[in-house]
Amino acid sequence: MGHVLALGKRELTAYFLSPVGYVVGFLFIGLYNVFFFFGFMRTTDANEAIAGGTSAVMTFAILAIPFLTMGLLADEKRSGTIEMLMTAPVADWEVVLGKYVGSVIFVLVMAAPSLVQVLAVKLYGMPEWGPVWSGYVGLVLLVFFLVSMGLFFSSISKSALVAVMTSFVVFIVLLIIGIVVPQSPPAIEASNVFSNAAHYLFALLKYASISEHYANFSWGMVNSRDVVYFISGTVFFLFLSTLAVESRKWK
Amino acid sequence: MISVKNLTKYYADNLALDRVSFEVEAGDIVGFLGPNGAGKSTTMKIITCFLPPSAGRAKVAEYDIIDSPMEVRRRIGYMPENVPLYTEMRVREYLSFRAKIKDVPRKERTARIEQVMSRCWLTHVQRQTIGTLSKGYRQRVGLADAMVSDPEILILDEPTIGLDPNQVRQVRELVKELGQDHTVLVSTHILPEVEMICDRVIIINNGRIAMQDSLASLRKGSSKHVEYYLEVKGPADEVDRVLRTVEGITELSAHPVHHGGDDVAGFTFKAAREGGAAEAVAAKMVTSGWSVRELRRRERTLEDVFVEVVGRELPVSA
Ligand SMILES: Nc1ncnc2c1ncn2[C@@H]1O[C@H](COP(=O)(O)OP(=O)(O)OP(=O)(O)O)[C@@H](O)[C@H]1O
Ligand SMILES: [Mg+2]
Repeated sequence: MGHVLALGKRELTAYFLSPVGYVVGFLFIGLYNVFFFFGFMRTTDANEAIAGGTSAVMTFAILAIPFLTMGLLADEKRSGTIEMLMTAPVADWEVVLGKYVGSVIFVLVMAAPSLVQVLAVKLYGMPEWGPVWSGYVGLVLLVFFLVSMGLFFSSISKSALVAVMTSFVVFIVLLIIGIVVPQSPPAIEASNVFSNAAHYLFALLKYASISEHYANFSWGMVNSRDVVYFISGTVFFLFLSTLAVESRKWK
Repeated sequence: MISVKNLTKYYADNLALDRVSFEVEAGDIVGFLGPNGAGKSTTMKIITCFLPPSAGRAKVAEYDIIDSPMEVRRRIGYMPENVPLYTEMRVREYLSFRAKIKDVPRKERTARIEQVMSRCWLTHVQRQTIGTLSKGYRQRVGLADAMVSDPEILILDEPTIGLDPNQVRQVRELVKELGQDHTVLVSTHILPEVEMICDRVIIINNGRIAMQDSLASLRKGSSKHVEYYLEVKGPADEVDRVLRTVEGITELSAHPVHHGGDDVAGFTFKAAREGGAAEAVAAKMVTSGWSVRELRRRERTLEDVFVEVVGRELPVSA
C-alpha cells in the first residue's frame, strides 16, 4: 500500500505542477459554476437548482477527464520514465492503482467546490436532501468509472493525443447509446431466434449506457444495479490497464 | 553476482541479442563495451527486468529475472541511457519519491537522500525543478537515484555521456569508489574510461559477445610478440638494411616521423618480449654511429583489442 500511496501522491502533485492540470482544473471549476449560476437564476425550486449544478459538474467532468487521464501512462512511455518506474521494485498493479488514485483524487478535489452551490441554494430554500446526496454518490461513481477508462486508453496508447481522442469517442458513445437506443426493439416480422437476439442486444446496449444508470441517481434513487455497473466497470478497466502495462513482457 | 546464459532477444523479427553469456563476479567493475546498436542497452534492460528475453536466462544474486523480478529489482540500482526523469519535480522531492518506492525504510530516508545528494554534487540544486537542470546535472540525479536504496549492484548505461570533462572525471572517480563495495556493470563508448575504472571488460558486437577478459591480462596480450617503435638519426635505407640483420625481428616497416628533420627515420617491428632483440637493435644502432632517439615497446591498448574483435574503429569521442 505504501507504494500505491507514494505513486498516487506523485501523480496528484504532478497535476498541480503541470499546465494541463491547472488549465483543465480552472476551466472545469469555472464552467460548471457558470452553468449552475444560470440555472439557479431561472428556477425557484431548490432541488432543481442543485440537480442542475450536479449535471453541469457531470457534463464538464466528462469533458475534463480525457485531458486529465491522457498522459497517465502514455507520457511515461513517450518520455521513457516508465523504464525508471518498472525497474524499481513496484508491481504493475501498484503503478496502475497509484496513478488511478492520484487522478481520481484530483478530479474530486476539482469537483468539491460544487458543494458550495448546495450551501448557496440552502440560503434561499430548503432542498429535499435525498436527491442531493444520491446525485453526489452518482457523480463520484461516475468519476471512478470514467477515470478508469481514461487510464486504460492511456495505457494502450503511444501518445497522449491518441488517448484523449479515444476517451472522448468512447465516453460519448456510452452516453448517447442510452438515448438513441429505444426501450425495446422494433417489432420485426421474423423468426423468434432473431427477435430474441435483438432483444438481448438492445438490453445489453441499454445496460452499457452511462446515462441510463446515472439518471436514477439524480432522481434520488441509489439502486444496487447502478452501483454495480459503475464499480464493476471501474474494476474491469483497472484490470485491463494492468494487463496492458504487463503486455510489454509478452512481446 | 550477475550470471547471463544464452540470452537472446528479438525486437519483432530483428535479432538484437544472440545467445549472450557472461558472468559478473561480486565486487567487480565491469566495462560493457560495443559499437552503436551492439545490444548493450538491450542487455541491461533485460537484466533489470524491464524487458523480457526471447530466450535464455539471467540471474542476479541467485535470483532469476523471470521467476523473482522483485528480488532482482531490489538489488539493482539502474541508470538507463538518456536518464528519463519527471521534469516537473524538484530534485529532492524526486529522490524522496524514488526512495519510497524502492522501500528505503522511513527512518533512513532523509539520511540516504542527503548522502547521495552530496556524493553526486546535487546538494546545492536540491530545490531546483529537474526540467531546468542542465544535462550533466540530470545525469547526476539519475546516478543519485541509482544509489539511493544502497543496492548491491549498479547498472549504469553510459553514465558519463554529455558531461563536461571535469564532471566526467568526477563521475569516473565516483564509479571507481562505488566499485569498492558494489558490483558495477557500466556501458560506455569511451575506451580509456574502461581502462581507467574497470577490472574486467566485456565486448559485445552485433548482439554477440566478442570477447571478455580482465584488463590485466588484456594489457599483456596473449601473444609473446610485441610491437616496438624505433626512431634513429640516420639514413633510412641504410638503417633498414642494418635492422634486417638483427635476429628475431619480424614485420619490419618504416613509420613516418612527425617531429624530426630529414635525417630522422622511424620504424616499427615485432619481436619476442623476452629475447634481447630490442637490446641488440640498440647496440647495432650505436655501433653504426646513429643515435637512437626513441625505442619503446607498444603495449596492446584496449583500442587495439577492440579494433581486432569488432573489426572497425569506434567513432572518437571525448
Ligand atoms: N525498442 C526497440 N524496438 C526495435 N528495435 C530495437 C529497440 N531497441 C533497440 N533496438 C535494436 O536493437 C539493437 C540493439 O540496440 P541497443 O540499444 O541495445 O544497442 P546499444 O549497444 O545500447 O547501442 P548504443 O551504443 O547506440 O546505445 C539495435 O539494432 C537497435 O536498433
Ligand atoms: Mg545503448
